[in-house]
Amino acid sequence: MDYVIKANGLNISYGRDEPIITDASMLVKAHEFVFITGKSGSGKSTIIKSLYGDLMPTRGELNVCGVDFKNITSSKLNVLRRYLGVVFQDYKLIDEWTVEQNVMLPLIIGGFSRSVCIKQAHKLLKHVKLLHKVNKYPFELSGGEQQRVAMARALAHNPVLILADEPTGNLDSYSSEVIWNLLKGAKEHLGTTILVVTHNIPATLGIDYKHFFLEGGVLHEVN
Amino acid sequence: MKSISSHLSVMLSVFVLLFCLQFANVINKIVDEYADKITNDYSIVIVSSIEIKEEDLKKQISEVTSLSEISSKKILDRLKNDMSSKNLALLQVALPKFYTIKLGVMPNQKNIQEIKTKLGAISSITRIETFAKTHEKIFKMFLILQTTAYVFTTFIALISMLLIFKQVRIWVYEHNRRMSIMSLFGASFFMKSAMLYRMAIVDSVLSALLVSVFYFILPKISMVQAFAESLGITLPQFNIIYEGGALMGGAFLFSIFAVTLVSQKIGRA
Repeated sequence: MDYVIKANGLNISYGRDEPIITDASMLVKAHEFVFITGKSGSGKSTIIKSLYGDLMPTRGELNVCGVDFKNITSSKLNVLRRYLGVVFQDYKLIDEWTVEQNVMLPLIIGGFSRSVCIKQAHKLLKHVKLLHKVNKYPFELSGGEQQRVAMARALAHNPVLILADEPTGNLDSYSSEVIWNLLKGAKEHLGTTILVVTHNIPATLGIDYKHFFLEGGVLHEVN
Repeated sequence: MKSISSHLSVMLSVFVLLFCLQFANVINKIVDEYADKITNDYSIVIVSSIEIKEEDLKKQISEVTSLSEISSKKILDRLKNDMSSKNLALLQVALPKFYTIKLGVMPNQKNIQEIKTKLGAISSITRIETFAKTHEKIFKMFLILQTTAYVFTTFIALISMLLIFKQVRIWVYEHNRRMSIMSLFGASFFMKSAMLYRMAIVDSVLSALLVSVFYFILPKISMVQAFAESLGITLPQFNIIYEGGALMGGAFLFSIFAVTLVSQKIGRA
């Protein structure tokens, strides 16, 4: 498989409303770093949601990590989601779980032993410089720290593809730098494919990337 | 505190549900035992011109368990002083045979009537006394008691079940965020709901344990025993293995059913 995402003529809408995304086509190869930019409300998050199956395309073809979305079953969708690492704009951490438990989530779902889960969670928390907060709860962390925990969770199971929705949207410069370095590191050292939805591409990223621009529900590739 | 009260509401509902089911079971046992007692005491008296054999009667009326002759010796002994021995001998020959019939089951009015008709069809039987009125009163009283117990149990059990479903529904909503996040990372239905299953199973099993302990101890309390004796009933002993096991198993299965049903219903909504 030479591509990780293959979308062709996608229409995406909420319920029976007019499509937010129309006729979107995109090809993302393995190990690529991809940005989707656009104005607020242009449908950037909608694209991400459709890629992890939270929103099903109403028309067109979509294949993510080899899983075809046509007549996809819930068990197949679960399998696909285990290949993905998703970073959400609102972090989506489980409030009643500690930082360590939150990072362990994809590993628990993947069926890894407890010792492996703990070891991997600690390794990643060290990367995001939050090892000292391993037993804290999300509400005890700042927004930037919560996003770093979410980032660690997205990387925990060495996913094939990371989908990040405005990962640095509301963060301070330190947390933003930690996040970008992690994403860069995942691509360079682990060969992970990265797709980031953002307002602005950081000027100092220092890696090759593919860029799509979303305007009026139409996706354009920027050369 | 909130968590304790949510656990208590499930535990209490399951406790009431199991308590009612076991209560119906106990009432059933008491009524059955009492019915047996009454059936043993109950008999139909028949008068026949000739001797009747038990086997022959059993062939014609399946409910009959025994036929015994009422001895006429007592009556004849009483007349001994007033009658000559010749007359007494004549009377003994002319006197019909009196029998009491015992039945295997406690008959209702319809059964009694059927038995009476069958007995009436035997030409030698000249008179049948079923004591139907007295019997009917006792039988109806038991029927009322049993029906009341069943209606009461069904009603309470239904309310308990509704409360359990409602509480599980609250749990699902409380855990909805966690479950939806787990779902975004590919957790299966059972993995997402594992915590709910665990809570429901623990609460149900604890309730079953409490009900078992209650019914195990109840017949052993001297005050309760004295009360039962005054009513002429024997409280059935609680069988920890069969009845306790049935309560545990029932509670376990019901908790799994409730969580699965509610989670899937909310998941689909």
